[in-house]
Amino acid sequence: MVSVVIEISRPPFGSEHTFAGLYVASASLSKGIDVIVLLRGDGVYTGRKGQIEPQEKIHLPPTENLVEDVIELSGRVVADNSALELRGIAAEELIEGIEILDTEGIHDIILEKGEQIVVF
Amino acid sequence: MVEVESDPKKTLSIMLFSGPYGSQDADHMCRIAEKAMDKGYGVQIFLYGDGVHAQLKGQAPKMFMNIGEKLTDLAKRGAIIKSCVRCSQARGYVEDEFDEEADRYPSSKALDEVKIYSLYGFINFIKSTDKLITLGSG
Repeated sequence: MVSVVIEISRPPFGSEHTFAGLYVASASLSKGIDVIVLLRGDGVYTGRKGQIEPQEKIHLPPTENLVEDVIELSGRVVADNSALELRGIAAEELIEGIEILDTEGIHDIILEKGEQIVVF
Repeated sequence: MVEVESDPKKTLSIMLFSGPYGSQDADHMCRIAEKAMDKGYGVQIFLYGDGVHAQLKGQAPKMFMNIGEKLTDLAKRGAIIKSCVRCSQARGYVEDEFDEEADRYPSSKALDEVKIYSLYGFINFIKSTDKLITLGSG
C-alpha cells in the first residue's frame, strides 16, 4: 500500500496550511493510501479538542473535525511530545485517538513509514 | 559534478503551495522540473493554495522568470499540470461546473495547459510517483 506522511507544523488558524494538509490526509485515506499526520511544533495546537467554531469569529474553516475525520478513516495522527510539553498541552487536552510519541519516534516515522512526505 | 543516469520510468511530482513571484519557490519548481525532464523523468505538478496563481494567463513580470510561460513550455514537453479546484474557486478562476469532455473545470483566466481539478488529482500523483517534492508549504 502507498503510504504518505503529512507533517503539520503550523497552528490551526493562522494560515491556510493546516486545513490544506488535513484535506490531503482525508482525500488520501479515501483513495486507499496509508496516512500518518505528524503534528509538530505549533502544529500540536491543531490536536487540541474543544476548539470553538472559527467561522463565527475569523472566517476560517474548523480543523478539529478534520482531525477527527482522519482518525475515523483509520489514519494515524501523531503529536510530538516535546512540542506538547513546551506549550503546556496535556495528553487529556488532545482530540481522542491522537497518539503521542517522543522525538525519536517521530524521526522513525519520517525515516521508515512514509514513501512520500508532504510538508505543510 | 556527478551526473546521474536518467531512468525513463521515474516520475517526479511537485506540489507548489506559494504564489509565482512572492518567493523563489515557483522558479525553483520550474528549474527542477526542466532538469528532471532532461534526465528522462515524467513530471507531474500540482498547484495548491496560493500556488494556483501560477496558472494565471497573461503574466508579465519584468524582473522574474515568467512562470506562466515556463509552465506552458513544461506542458508542451509532456509535463502534467493540475491545480486545486477549491483553491482556484476561492481565487476567482473557476467559471462553471466540471467539464467531463475537457476533463477540467473551465476557466478563461487559467492557462489551457493547466487542468483545474479536484484534490484527487494530487492524490493520484502521490500514488503514482517515485519522488515527491513539496514547495512553499513548509
